[in-house]
Amino acid sequence: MRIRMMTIAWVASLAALLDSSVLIHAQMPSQQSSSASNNSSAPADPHDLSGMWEFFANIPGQGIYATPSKEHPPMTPWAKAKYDEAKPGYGPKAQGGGNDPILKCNPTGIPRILFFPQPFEIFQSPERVFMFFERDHAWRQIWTDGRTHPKDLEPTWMGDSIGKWDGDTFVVDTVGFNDKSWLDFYGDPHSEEMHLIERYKRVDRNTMSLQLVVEDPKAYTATWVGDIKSYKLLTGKKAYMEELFCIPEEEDAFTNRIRMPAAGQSPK
Amino acid sequence: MKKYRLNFLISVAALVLISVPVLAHHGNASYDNDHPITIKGTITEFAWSNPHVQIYLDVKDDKGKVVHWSVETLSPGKLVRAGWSKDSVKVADQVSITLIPAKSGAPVGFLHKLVLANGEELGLRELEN
Repeated sequence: MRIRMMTIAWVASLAALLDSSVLIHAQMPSQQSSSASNNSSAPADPHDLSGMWEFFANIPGQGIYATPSKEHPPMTPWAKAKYDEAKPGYGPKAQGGGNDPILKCNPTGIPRILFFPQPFEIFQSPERVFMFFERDHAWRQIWTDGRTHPKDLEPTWMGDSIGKWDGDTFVVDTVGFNDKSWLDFYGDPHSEEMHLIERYKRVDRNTMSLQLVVEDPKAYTATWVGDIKSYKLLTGKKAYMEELFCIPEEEDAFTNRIRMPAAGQSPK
Repeated sequence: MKKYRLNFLISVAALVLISVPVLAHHGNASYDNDHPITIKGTITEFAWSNPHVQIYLDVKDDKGKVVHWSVETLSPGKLVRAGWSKDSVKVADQVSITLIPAKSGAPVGFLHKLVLANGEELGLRELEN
């Protein structure tokens, strides 16, 4: 019942958002067939990515957690300076405490939000693909109506995304980022010049893969090609996403009560 | 740190049982991933909050002195999908918690598993389907 209520809530909110009755009729079958069904033996439409997907560290062949790949390309002096300032909780520079911008509830941004252990839901319309992230209650839109990126984009956390199918791979092209977010959990930076390619593929009914390609000449002297991340479809009662906002007061309380003592630092 | 390791029951079996990596959003660099311990005590607070659920409990050491422990775990959504609810743990419950302790030596840890008085186990799920 809960799942049905959630599906109804999603459809209702999207109806308000998109104001298209044709879209609602077109999407309901795929929603029912993927995110809310336990029929795992049914074949999957490779061009249907809809459903809730979650990263698990123990999927066979899983790529590295938290960053596009184990090694980043050589950094420019601009990026190196930013990297040297970063005190991340993961990677070669991992340390307790630190200055990760998400500890102050800054938006995680793209592509970093794709690396969280929290799931995201994909919803496809004829002209846009939506991604709804449990983390931060954030969402993004990927235009699939053939448009190109606007000129003179104002830099944003999520960037401007357009997508198209390349065979059975959904290719998302994003530009127009600000440089305020870390690219990953390791403190690797990116600039406003970042051009991100995401390649999604429904490997089987319950598995979707993603490969990232980062081109950012202001930050890296070579293209950064990520390894293959795998996500599993959440079904039945597991097809559940909560309201996960980062609340500054709660984050500060957590920092004082747990994060700082754990790191051997005195609470503020 | 040595003191806590000596004072509280060390579960060697837990090393084998909980070897699956746990994904916390801000990293586990503060914790001693290789040396989980098990503590037993009385719940004083169960904070069902984002992005980290927190469990606070009083633990008596072998001299009868009460030590207040703070235990971090994952977000409510992750725990719900692993079988928890906001009512899974209540104040005054007697529990056993396996955790990785802070390297700093403070009585703080990151939860791997909680066992209620009735034997029910609550853990952190990784892939199971």
